[in-house]
Amino acid sequence: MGRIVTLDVSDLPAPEPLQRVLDALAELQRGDQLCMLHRHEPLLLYQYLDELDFSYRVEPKDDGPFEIWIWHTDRAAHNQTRAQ
Amino acid sequence: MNLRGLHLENMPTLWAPMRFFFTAPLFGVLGALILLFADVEVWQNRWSPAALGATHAFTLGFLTMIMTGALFQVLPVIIGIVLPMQRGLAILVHVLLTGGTLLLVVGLLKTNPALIGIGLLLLSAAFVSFLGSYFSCLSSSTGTATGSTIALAATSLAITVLLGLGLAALRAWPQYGAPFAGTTDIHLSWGFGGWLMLLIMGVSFQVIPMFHVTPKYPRWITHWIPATLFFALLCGAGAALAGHWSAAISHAIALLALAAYAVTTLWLLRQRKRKSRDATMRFWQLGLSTLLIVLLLFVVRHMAPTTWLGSLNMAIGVLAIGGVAMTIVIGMLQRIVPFLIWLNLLNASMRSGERMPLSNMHQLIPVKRAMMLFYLHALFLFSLLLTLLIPSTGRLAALLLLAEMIFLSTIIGRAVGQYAKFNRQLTAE
Repeated sequence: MGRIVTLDVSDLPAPEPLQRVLDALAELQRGDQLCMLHRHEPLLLYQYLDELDFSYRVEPKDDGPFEIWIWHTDRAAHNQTRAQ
Repeated sequence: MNLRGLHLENMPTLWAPMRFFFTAPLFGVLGALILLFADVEVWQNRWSPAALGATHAFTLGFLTMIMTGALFQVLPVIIGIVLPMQRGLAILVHVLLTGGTLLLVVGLLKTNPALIGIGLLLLSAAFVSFLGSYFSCLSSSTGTATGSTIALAATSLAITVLLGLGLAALRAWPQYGAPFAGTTDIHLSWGFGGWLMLLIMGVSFQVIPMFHVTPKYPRWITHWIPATLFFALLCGAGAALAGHWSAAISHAIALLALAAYAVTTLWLLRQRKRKSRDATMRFWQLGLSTLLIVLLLFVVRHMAPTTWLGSLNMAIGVLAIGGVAMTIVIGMLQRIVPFLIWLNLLNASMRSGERMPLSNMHQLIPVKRAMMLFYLHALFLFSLLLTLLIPSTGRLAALLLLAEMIFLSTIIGRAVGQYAKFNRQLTAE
């Protein structure tokens, strides 16, 4: 089980949230997960995650910031899923 | 927003919007020079050739130039519309808009039908190619408030252009008849209330919370105000052409819609979480406060004696263009230019696999310079108010505007110079 790294960017103006999360992802080890907290869905981020081979899951909250969970894509598992 | 389908290769190059941003202050300089060398009539008679020339240098050459350029970036990044052949289209629209505006402005100044005619032809081609491409892609737009508000703004631009074409043609060839009474006012209300304000609104729904860390706009503002304003303008124009009494009610609804937007945005800016010194926010506050004054002047105009109408129309026009639209657009440029450069550098660093060379957007436009520009603009606005009271002081306003436009050019030029330097580093490594 990897580490969970939390990054709260909900009070930062654009483009600081994107910059911070990309910096944090550069340090993220395989097996670790980054939990990003943001006041809205960071739509611009997703294309960079695809480009950098990260997977993500978004958990919207009614009463708080969005939680975006990001981790390194497991290529082998990904290819296996596609083959099925 | 739907950016899941957006890929880095679909993002327009920096030069798509930037060529428009570079050209706009040059038209600002042209407009300021017209005001500087015109006689005092330019401030007293909105039909004088110099007033018509300067007005179109500012509305088409400066404001529409920047807003069209910004749309080349906003459409793909914010509302998911990728225009076909966007790089070539940006060059084509830029050339046609620049050439057409230049010829129209000179033609209006000299009352030269040939120049006005060729100018109109080029401008028509610019707007047909841009709006045609945009409307053909409209089905791929996402159903957000910003997307639908921009669609209303683009429709307003089409209406403004059609009315403007008719008015300019009658100015060039008066033997074919005079415009309907009030057509100019309808052209102005669609240009300002429709095209300029609706586009500013649509973009602000995204950029105010994004850049200034404010709460989101209330849903009733984003979903109802743009449509209310658009239909009030539509009903008002129809009623005014028919000479129907209900035009006043439509105008009142349009004024209330704009006032609700201005007050809400000012309130949101007061709720912002980061209270640091920010020139863009000051521009927003100044522009929206001036908008409230312009709306008040509209109300006064409805009640004022007819002898005041000339002065009130001039005050409303001058403040709407110089005090509201130019203030907000110049302010937004202070954020949008560094943001676009940042985004392009980020993409370049991703392609090269190198670390992003820019640590802070303020490296591109330092806060001190942006604040200096704000104070210069506020001084220009103050001189505009003085000119409305004492028209003979108009040359001071023209000189301040000239200085501001030159300063704005150097700010954009410096930011692009920084981009070129960082981009060279990335491509060399």
